[in-house]
Amino acid sequence: MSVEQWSFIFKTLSILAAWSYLVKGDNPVYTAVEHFLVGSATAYGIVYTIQNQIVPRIVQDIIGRGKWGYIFGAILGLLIYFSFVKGQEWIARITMGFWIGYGAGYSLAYSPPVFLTQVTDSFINLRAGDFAKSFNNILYFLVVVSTLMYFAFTLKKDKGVLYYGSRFGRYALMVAFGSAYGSITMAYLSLIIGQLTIIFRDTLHLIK
Amino acid sequence: MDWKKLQWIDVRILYVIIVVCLLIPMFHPVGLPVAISDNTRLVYNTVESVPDGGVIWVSHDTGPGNAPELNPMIAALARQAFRKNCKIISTSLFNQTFGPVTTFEIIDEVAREMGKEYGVDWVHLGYRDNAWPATIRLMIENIIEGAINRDWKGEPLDQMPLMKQVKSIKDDVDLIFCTTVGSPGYADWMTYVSEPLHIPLTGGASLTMYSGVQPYIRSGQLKGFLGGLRGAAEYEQLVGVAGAGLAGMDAQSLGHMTVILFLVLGNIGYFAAKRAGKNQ
Repeated sequence: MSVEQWSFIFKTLSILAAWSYLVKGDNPVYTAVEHFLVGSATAYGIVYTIQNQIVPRIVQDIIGRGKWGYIFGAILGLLIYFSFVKGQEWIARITMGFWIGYGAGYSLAYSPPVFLTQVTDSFINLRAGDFAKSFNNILYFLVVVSTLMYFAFTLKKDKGVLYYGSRFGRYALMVAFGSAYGSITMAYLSLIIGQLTIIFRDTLHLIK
Repeated sequence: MDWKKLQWIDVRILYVIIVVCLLIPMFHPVGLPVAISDNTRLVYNTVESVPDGGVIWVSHDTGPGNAPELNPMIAALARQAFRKNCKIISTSLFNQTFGPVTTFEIIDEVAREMGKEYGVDWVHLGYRDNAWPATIRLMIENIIEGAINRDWKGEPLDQMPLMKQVKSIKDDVDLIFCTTVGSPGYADWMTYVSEPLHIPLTGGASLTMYSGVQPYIRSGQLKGFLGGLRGAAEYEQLVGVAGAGLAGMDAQSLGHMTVILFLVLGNIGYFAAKRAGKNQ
């Protein structure tokens, strides 16, 4: 039997073990494959990171090309391990502070163009020519405005336009959530089909 | 009949019925027609608009859970790209273990079939560390620098003919095709790469995320986006190859009907119970 066939048998056994959760809840077989998955993924991750990230960065960039600036980044990163040193945990926060600050700053610098395109895209022609397009645009406009009304929590919405607008916005949100739920159901069925294909086609060769 | 009981059917029975309903069409395919949406056509046309011999950056950002939906998209894309003699540079940034291996296997299978050579026609960079914006930032300027001169197996990139031609994302990449199940995914590619560099972005998403993608398709920030197995099946039809996407559609359709039936029965049970409560 080839390595590939063994791998399919192993995949099938793992799938069945994972599905055992549906029948028996948390059970030893399920827990065993769960631990196996976490353990093997962690081990693979460590080896991959050392081989493809850390060693080349040190050997090639720092030693080979004299990019000594990377050492400052490495030291900053290593400070995170101070979270294991009693009484010195605050030092680890320097790394986290840098990381969060860098992430937030980077995101703030790049996000506005993406967001603003969304805003300008909501400026649409309500009389677009043909009836269907106009109807769609009007509906789109109403949903955008009413949903914004729904999320305006600092305003009193007990009567008038705000009351009816926010209610309409809530219904629009419910339609959106319903649509998302339908999509998710479709996605999960696709995933089951994928697992069944492994069991019945790749392992048992019962279907083509 | 006591309709109220419909609410309390043992969920394990429902699981078995769903599995059986999915299996029947897999053993006896019906070949139900799959209509092609405008959205999928837009994805196909966007890939088609890349000049012959151009460079497509493929990021298969998936884990094992969503692979059945997204893998067929990558296979079909590779086929369309190689047919146009386009070059592919691939990454897989969502999952460190499963993603890179799967991405390589899918593209490699298509490449071998179409006589394309690794290193000349395509290169796989695999997973890159979690500092996503920083890593990609480096690759925008200099791919070899950002990837530390290593492909996914640790082979030196500067020895590969393709990487002598493709130096940076900003100057040499014509299209980004990414699959998405979370972050990193389309939002990151859009925010940090496609929007600032004006590189067209398309791809496909798991249906769990597909609703969130819609506003970006509408605004043109995404040049179409495939939705789940259904999107993959439509795309396969346009590319002209029946792959895993189309193969799964019969099962998917019968599965939907079963879920809808359960929803209807559950609601009948709910209203019957409510009515019985009022009458008491």
